[in-house]
Amino acid sequence: MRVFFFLLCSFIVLNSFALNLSTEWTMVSRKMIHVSCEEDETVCQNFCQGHMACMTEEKVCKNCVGTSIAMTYAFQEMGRSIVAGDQLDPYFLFDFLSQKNYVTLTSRSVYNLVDSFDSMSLRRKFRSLCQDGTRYPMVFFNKTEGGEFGRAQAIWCDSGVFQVEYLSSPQSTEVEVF
Amino acid sequence: MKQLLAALFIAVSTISANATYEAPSFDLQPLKFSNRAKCALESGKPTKKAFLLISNVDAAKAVYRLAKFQGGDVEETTKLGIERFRFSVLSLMNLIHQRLVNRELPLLPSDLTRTESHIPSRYKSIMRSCRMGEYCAALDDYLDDIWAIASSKRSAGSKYLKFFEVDNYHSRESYITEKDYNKDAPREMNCAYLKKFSPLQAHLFGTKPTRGALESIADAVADRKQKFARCDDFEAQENLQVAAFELGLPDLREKSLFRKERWEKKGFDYWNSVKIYLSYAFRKAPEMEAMAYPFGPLFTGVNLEESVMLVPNGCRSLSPAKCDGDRLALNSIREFAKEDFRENALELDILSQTPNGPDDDLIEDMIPSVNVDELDLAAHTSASKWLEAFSGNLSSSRALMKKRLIKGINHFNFLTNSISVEKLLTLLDQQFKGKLLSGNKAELSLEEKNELYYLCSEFSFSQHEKWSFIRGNLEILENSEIVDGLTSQISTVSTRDNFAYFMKLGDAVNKACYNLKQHDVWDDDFELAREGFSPWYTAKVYEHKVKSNYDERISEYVKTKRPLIAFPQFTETQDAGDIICAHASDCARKTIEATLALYSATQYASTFWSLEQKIKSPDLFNPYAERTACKVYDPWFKTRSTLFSFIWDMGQTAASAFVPGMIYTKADLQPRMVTSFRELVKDGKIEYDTRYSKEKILTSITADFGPLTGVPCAVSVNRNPRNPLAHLRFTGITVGACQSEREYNLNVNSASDIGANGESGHSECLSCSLNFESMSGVVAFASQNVGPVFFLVRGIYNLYKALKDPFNIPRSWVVHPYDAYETKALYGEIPKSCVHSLRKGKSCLNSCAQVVSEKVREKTNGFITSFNLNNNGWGTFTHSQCDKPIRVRTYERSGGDDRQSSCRFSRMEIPASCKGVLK
Repeated sequence: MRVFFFLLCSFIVLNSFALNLSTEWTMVSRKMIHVSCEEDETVCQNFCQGHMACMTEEKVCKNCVGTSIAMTYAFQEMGRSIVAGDQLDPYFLFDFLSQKNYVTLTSRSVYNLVDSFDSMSLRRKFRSLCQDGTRYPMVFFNKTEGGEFGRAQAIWCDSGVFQVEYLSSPQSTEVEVF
Repeated sequence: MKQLLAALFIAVSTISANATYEAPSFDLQPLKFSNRAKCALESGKPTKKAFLLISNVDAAKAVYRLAKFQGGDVEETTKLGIERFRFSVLSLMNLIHQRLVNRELPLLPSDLTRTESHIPSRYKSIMRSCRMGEYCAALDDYLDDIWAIASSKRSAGSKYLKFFEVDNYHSRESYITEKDYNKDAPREMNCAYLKKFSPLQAHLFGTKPTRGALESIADAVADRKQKFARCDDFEAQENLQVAAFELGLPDLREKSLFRKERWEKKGFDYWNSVKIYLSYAFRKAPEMEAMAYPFGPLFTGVNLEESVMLVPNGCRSLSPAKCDGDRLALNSIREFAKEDFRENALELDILSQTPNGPDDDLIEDMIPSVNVDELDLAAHTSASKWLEAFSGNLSSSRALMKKRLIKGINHFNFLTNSISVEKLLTLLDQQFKGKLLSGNKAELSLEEKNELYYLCSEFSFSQHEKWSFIRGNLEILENSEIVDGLTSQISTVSTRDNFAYFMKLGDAVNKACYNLKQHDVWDDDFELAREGFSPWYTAKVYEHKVKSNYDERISEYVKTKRPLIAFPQFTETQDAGDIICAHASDCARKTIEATLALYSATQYASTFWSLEQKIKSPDLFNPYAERTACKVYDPWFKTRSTLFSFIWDMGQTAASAFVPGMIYTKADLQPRMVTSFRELVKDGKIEYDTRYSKEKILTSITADFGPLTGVPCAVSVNRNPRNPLAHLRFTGITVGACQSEREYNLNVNSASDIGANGESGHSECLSCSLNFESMSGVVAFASQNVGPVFFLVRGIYNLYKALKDPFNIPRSWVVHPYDAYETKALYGEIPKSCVHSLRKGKSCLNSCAQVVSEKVREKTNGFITSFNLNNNGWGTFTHSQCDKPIRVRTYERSGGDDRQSSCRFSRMEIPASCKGVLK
């Protein structure tokens, strides 16, 4: 039954991807992800409990307001070592959002203590992740057991959700060896 | 927008008013002066005075970005964020302190190995299972249980009972109990914002207080508002990046909160608890929401351990003395506080790409000065300027370390996943026209000759079985998981595997290099371009006298040739930063650099990163904390032994045979007199530390002496009878012996590489730089196995150097700032006759002034600022907290035969407007 539901969702979503995500910070410093769905977006609407749009809180992760090695690496290597891979079923994203064990980054991230806020170079790095010109691609990271910033898992672009790849081997990437 | 901010301020003040959280209040503390030996002794005791150093740069940056994101008033919001961050740290500390002294939180033992007092079993088991550098979920669960009880609305007694459900706490030893403080003693934590270091921290600037120092202390009390402000007076806190606070636990005269013996037993547990609870509560306590409003959720993401530091204010410590690499690394943080940090940065081991390790400082500076402003506090116009420089140096060095580490990880990620060692060797052979492996006779270009020379030299230096003196150090990477913990989110290969790759590559490269017919490659006309060596190599071997042009050469190379491994962006950017490695030799050589990055991060991880779930507390002002713990310095030695005869006897015995690790014979030293040597003193003789067998010591020596084992060089030992210690030092290995290898094997001393750096001994023969000190340095890292013996030897050497030093007999002095001030207020100066009693912690007033002063301190908050007493009848005095004179009635009675007079306090009339001064 679950498989059937999943396949059904996949079919519907893949055929009409229209989902918008954005970050908001409330006046009491809570980080929210704003999800807005199109009319035929059933998975999205299910997530939003029947509404066309909803907000879900993203808990501030441990040591994310800092320059940990992982956080520095993320901003430094975005679009270089961290690149977009295959397209994913958007269901994956909602699954991620439901589990509440994620951290999102954009070029306008408050967690970016490494570079200037929404700088041109950072925007360029993030935008290079999406081929469709998405203004603010959102990269989803998981959290470690201790609630700290983990590894990148998915990228939301206007045209869909994509898997994240960490470049490390020329065999699977465009890195050149001769 | 302004309306919004105004609303926000109202909301903040409302929330703050509703919740009763507050920053602690402040009173001046007694100043304890110590000379070197006393300072060393004191390091083993828990302090009651500490500095809380806050760097809110990360928090402020995040609030700034938040304001930008929200489109708010960036400046105002950031300023508010900084205030709330500082307020929440201070309030939380205060809350934890209050709960600890009211039995609303149990103490968390600092030493799990102690046997003389109780350790709660669940806590013990959790702490034993927690691994340094890894998140410990069990500890968080444990603290969840405790904090939930502490924050509940139960009575203190009910909480106390409830804690027994969490763990088997001991009713007395796990708490600060009623018996630990006098009945009416204040229990509050003292706190002041530190504007400027002044004579009110005179104990950090000098040892024995002179009359001049006492005068300065008195003047500083009068001028105290220029030195201190209330902790919650944020208007006074002009620096927006950092803030230094002085904390004190009450210890004023009879109002001692903790009885001495109890404090010495529980003090370290108290601070350990504060550090753990603070680290936990800042992220998880529900109280934080109100304390940090409206930034509570955001602040839970701040890396508190990198933003806040607790530092002992003086010679005593915040954690028990321990001689291990982590503690030494943590104390290396001292370097960043020195004014000349930037000028000396290149020379510092902590920033070197080939560090000797955190024990280097012990060796380089065996008997440092203490309490003479070593951290250059006076060089800065304000305390925050000092802290800003310290914090800036630390954070920029951390950034450098992080940059090297990320570069190293990227290198290994790409290299190990794409090119095997075998493949890389083939590529190397191709690059050098088959000369390296295939024995081809093709002629190499000058560029290629140089490149091959660099490759062979750098691998020989870093890894050769016989010649390398860093190879032994690097082997810690085989077992250490510290770097894996730090980089698990970005690394695809474990440190152990990276190290194995490096070793395999190095062995193969060294073998190939040694099999080369050197004269065929580098004939007599060959002139080495030294600038082509890697930066780490020129720094180590040429001591920065040759500037490496490594990166420029790579940039030139890729202008005409495609790099071997690069990011896809390279084709577009042509930026050298997008290259992993340009050619095979570059890949191989950068593997050394990457390994060194992992190595230095492992050595100094505790300096730069938080590896435990608690606030850091380095012994910033007492370099003897680690020297005493590591037995480099024995504070009692000079006092109780005849140093000369000890050294002489020791020298005679040692001259008979050189066996490292052997500690020598009978000396004119009384058994059990030298306290910290007692484990080594037996039946009037100093022997091996009985915990270690001779075999074990020798095995360790062989391991640590790795580079020396089998070196075909003679060890020359100087046995100059005038310097009996000299036989303990390798005076070097003759260069000639090393040169005998030259014709067959490649050494870095061959051909034209002998030159300007001859005096350092590094380049002629790598092993020549081994001497007693560097040997000790290597061994120090393995101190858990053989430490005490070697530290003892070094301790002896230290003491030898310190023979003429008058500071080795433990001495201390206590000055109460108010006493100094009142003495000056009474006499107009500090009389010569008062110096002695003032530095013994006693006041020096006449009998009536004395009784009035005592009464004032007992009944009021504050002290006397001027006296106009009438010895028999009504007089007046002015009070620090009252703008009108206070009337007082005293009666003096002449003494009898001893001609001493006494004075009786009768009454005191405080003006109605000053009733607030009463306690």
